[in-house]
Amino acid sequence: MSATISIAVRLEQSAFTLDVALESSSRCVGIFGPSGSGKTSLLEAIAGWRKGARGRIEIGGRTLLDDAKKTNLPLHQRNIGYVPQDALLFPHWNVERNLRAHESSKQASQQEFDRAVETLGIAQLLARDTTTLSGGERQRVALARALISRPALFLLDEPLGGVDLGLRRRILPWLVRLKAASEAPILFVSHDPTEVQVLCDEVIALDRGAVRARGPAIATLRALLSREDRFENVLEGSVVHLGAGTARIDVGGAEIHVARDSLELGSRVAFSLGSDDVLLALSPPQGLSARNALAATVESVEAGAAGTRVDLLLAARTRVLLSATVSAEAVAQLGIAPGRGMFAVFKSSSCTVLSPQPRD
Amino acid sequence: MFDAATLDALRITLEVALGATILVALPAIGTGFALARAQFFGKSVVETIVALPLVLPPTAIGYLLLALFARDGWLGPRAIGFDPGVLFTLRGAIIASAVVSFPLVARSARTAFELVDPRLEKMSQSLGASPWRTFLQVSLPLARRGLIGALALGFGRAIGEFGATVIVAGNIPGRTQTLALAIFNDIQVGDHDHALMLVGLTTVLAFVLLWSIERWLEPRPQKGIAKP
Repeated sequence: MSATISIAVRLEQSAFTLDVALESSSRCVGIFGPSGSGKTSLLEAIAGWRKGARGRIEIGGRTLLDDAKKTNLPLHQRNIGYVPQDALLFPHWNVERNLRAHESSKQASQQEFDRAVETLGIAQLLARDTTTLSGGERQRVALARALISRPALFLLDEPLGGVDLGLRRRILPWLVRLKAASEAPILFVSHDPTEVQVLCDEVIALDRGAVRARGPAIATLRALLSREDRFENVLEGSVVHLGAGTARIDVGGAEIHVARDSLELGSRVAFSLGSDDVLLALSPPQGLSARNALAATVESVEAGAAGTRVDLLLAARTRVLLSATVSAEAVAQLGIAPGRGMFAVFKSSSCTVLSPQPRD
Repeated sequence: MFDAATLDALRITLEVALGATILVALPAIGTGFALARAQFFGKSVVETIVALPLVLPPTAIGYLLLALFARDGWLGPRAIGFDPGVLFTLRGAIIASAVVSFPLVARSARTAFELVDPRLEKMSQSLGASPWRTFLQVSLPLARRGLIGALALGFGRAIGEFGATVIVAGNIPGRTQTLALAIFNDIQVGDHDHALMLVGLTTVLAFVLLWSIERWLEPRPQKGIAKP
């Protein structure tokens, strides 16, 4: 249970009116939607960066904005840890001075400073000029700066707007660490479903400034993305066995082989698996190089533009779902229908480990 | 190399220009920031008033100052209870030059602040710094280069000031006579050689100053400045 966020904001914009109501006690709420759907505007309205924002904003019982009570806290009293897409580091200060930017208003202990520097892995950057940092380094410094300021709420905008998927995937574990290092709730803006599934407990989907869907992260995204060709499954579990080249991960009743990478026995790990990397078989396959052949029950079948998405229940008790994308012909020929027992087949190397070891 | 009167004029010129620059710095930078960032009712009127001394003849400004500081003026001895010692003094020359320089400095300062990314100021405030603190530790340092250029322009304008100064401070050798006034004086009395020498001196002074400003303002990669 995290501090409660209670928001009802309206913001007139040229293209559309942003109108979002949100009550949540989740640790991390994903704000998901296409470019230009109002995600960043919502964050800026909460931070107080948009003058025209109307309505009510309460974080953990503290009112930041309330038209009825004529309350509208100025930016410096809102206690918000905002990390925008472009990080906005102060160019005339080095990294360490940036991290201490909040010190005019409140003093963080050296211990907290050191902990944030360690959490985001930026100890070797402290003396650097911010203009010499790489995109990923800038983002981590901005995350550490927000963490040190001990905000009541984090507002994280997707780093670099998806310019470089490799870079984003490298930032993700740091976001996971930030989430673990603070108790403050997080609003996380992204249009990458994989990121949202890894980080968020809950999702709201925005479209043209309005909330289109809301619910638990994975289920909501599954419903939202049903017509897309490819769905990025994100599964989480603990490492139960380390073999020569692969590790086995228990995801709640089903064990999955993934490439061993740098995993440690017993650690929690999240990994993604594209729905188009999953094959379906009627009987357990013999003599196959793929390491994973999991018994599963078909939960739903939904035809999309380019393929048919089949959602499979891997472990009935914990309701772990896996999506596969197959052709319409395959659905017809194999008689794939809800309730049917099948085998989901995929290679260990198709699973991409998303955490836990952050790298530079 | 120079006679005593010339050295006096040079010294007074530099004193007036420096004094005017110091006097004008805070109000002009403050006005520049307000015009760059604040939205308020009547902003366009304030903008026009700030620019007015650029267009008004300096003699008109001088006359207004004379009236203001005269015995019965709003800021004269009778109104404030003591003699402010402005008329026909170095102080008067400084004030006259400051008023004439003000719009130039304020407008350049405005441009300097407009080039600073306002989102950096917002970020500073979101991290807990008050607006005033943000101005001191973010806006001012990031606009630094443009602001120094603005003050140098004001300094240069004050070096050449004539019309307002002659009316407020007179043309008293050794006390209020700047190079500009000394040149006028030499021409009046027909000492063209001396006038020419002073023109040469003033030209060298102006050249060095402008060259320094240009060098200072030369485009070079600068941090925190929004791309046009």
